[in-house]
Amino acid sequence: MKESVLEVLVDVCPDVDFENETAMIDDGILQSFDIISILTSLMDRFDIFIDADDIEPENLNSLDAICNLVESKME
Amino acid sequence: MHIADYNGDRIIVSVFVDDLIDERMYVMRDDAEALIVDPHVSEAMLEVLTGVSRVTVILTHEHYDHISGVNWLREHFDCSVYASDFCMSIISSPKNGTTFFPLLFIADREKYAYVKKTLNLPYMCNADYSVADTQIMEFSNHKVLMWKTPGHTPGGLSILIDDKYLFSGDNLLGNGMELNSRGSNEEDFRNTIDEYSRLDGDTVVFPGHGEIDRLESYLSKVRDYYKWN
Repeated sequence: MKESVLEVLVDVCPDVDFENETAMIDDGILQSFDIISILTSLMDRFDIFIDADDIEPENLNSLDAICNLVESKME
Repeated sequence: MHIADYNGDRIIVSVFVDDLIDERMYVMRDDAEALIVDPHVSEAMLEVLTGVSRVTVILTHEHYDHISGVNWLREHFDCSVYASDFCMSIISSPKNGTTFFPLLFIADREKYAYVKKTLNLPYMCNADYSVADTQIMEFSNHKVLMWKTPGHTPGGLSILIDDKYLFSGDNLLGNGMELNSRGSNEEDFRNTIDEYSRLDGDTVVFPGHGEIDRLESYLSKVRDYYKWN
């Protein structure tokens, strides 16, 4: 799962060190357009639906947090 | 907020701006009818439309900020809503992308939380008529041409009134944001810009955000930004 998510993230933002960054939203590493592209790609790749309530900075700050979000939507 | 009235040739275009994202809504009226491009909720507009009973609404594309007033308008007026076929098909779906709108403010946690809390997303609405390619209608003795102009989004639609006034949605912003959007497509955008380029350079542009200006001025900014010769 983690590798598949990472693949999606790197495909959208190849210059971001997703494996080590832990504050991608708080530090402004990901801009709104990047986030929209990432969420859209994740929904397509994993056939999930991420709604407004799921989109919180805490859920997007790190690779682990994004994996947890994806897993929660697959349950 | 009602910020200006543009006085054209036999036409007055009232300009309204929403306070979140500077989205421009344009309103034209005669005695009993009105034509509105990209509605948002605005109590001030109700004053401008006093005496009007029927409203024609045209949506330039499917983004939340350009459709957010459709349901509210229907509560106040007998509305006929036009959109491109793509736009019409997507705006009624809960997966129409409107849930992403607050992300524009995610750099400011307080504002992000406020926007998320204030807006009831996803926002869904309906169009009544789809424009497949090109369509001409009449409004108050003005010729209103609508044609599909994808680029900023797949569902882009432009409106040309009396061959003089162009409502371009977000295809002409002049700041490089035209392609910075979910669903943007550069090839479609270039084709749309080519189509705009065939119009008179003195055509007046009413953009989705930003200031009213001559078409040639907007095209020059687009060519400079994207380094097109």
